[in-house]
Amino acid sequence: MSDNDIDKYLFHEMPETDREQFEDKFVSDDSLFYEIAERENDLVDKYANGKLAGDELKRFESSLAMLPARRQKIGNAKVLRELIADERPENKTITIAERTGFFSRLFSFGPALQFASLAAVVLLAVASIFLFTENRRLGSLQEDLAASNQRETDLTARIHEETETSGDLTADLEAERERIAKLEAEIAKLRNTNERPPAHNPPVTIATLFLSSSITRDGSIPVRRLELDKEVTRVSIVIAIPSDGRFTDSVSVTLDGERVAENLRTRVRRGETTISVTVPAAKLKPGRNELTVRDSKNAEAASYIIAIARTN
Amino acid sequence: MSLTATSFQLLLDRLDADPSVAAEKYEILRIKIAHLHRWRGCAESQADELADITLDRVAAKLTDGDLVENVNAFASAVARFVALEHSRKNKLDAVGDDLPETPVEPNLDFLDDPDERMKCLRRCVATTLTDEDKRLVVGYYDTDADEKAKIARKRLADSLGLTINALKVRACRLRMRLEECINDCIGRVTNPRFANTKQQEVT
Repeated sequence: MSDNDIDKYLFHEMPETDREQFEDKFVSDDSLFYEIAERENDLVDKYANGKLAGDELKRFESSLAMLPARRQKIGNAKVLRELIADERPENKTITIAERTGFFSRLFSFGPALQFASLAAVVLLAVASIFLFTENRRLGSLQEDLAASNQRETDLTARIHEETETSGDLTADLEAERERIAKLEAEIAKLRNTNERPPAHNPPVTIATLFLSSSITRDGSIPVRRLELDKEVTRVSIVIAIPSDGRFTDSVSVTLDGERVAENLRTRVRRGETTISVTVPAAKLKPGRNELTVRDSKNAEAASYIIAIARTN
Repeated sequence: MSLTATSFQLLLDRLDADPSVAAEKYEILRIKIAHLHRWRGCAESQADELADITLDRVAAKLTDGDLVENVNAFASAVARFVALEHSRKNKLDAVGDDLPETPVEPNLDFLDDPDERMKCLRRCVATTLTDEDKRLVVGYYDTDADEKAKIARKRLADSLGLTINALKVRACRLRMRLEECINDCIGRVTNPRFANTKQQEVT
């Protein structure tokens, strides 16, 4: 009997006479009957799984109108498929009862088998511990390797950085050398220039005035006379100030109220505390000029009158 | 027509001289006749009953002394007659002339909760199948592995010490038993009136 005949029978497509003959055959032939039943199960399972297509699907669905019992089979096939899926090893969970069953079966054997089973369990446990330890060691080694790799990366970055810095320093050094060379060239040039007499530079004339501190002790403001030639451009004034210890820090100097020098450091000259200040000659007007020395707190330390006379 | 002990014994004797083999052959014959009724369009709920009626008549004919050369072929012919009778009765019982000749199972889809069917299946697996039967059904009908089904089935047959053909027959019979149990269970769930009966009457 061909598969085609079986399908025709199952799909209700056989003429009545053929159908009767077919039924007589499968009722007398067990293997044919199971073949038909198997084919029907196969078609129903495929239909329930959505795997039936084309002409086969059409024929199957047409048969459903005539064979109400097949509808029940489809419902059964669907739940059977679910059950089978649940029973697959990957989806199956081991219940406590099953575990208990395993151990009770294990210990229901004879002493020799029990001993062998126990040995196997111990061996398995030892192997598991060994594997666990090795696994942890492997994990630790992997961590070390990762740390080493990180260190290597850091060092490479640092070497790269140092190389760049070294390059910068070399460049700086080169620039410095170049600057030194330029300066040396300039110095050499200046020396050459100094050896030659200045062409048209006017001579600088400086007048020097010494204002002694002893002058200020009689209470009156002393007057110093100074004749200035019109050629004189600057006046260098050395001022002696009272050495009573008040002027250890810097002092400032005002000329007729205008500050002409500040932050001047005191120094001892021939036993006297002095400061030096140079003022342009133009600042000293003909006649009376008052010069005052003040400490860092702006307190007056000494005061002098300079009388300027201009000469041709 | 009711089955008497004598007529039933006569039928078993005709099926096989060995009483246990005869009982098994009777059961197989009953299954085939029930399927014949299903494949002729009988509702699931009536197929078993019609199979019983068929075999009762076969036994009665044998008791009457009618000459029956091939009991199986004779049973097949009687089954067709019973099916025809049943469909005519359904037609006469029906109101109106345009109703289909074949009985149509009432649409119980709205009552057929898949969860209930699954519960029934699990209950039936637990009550009607042994662990090995369950393994066989699950292994044999795991159709998701379609292309590997033949190899898987061969491996299953080897593990159970069966030939492929024997495995097929066994799987088929187990599925029939399981489906019969599910259908009974669903019948009880969807119609509590029949909770204490084996088959649900649907007319």
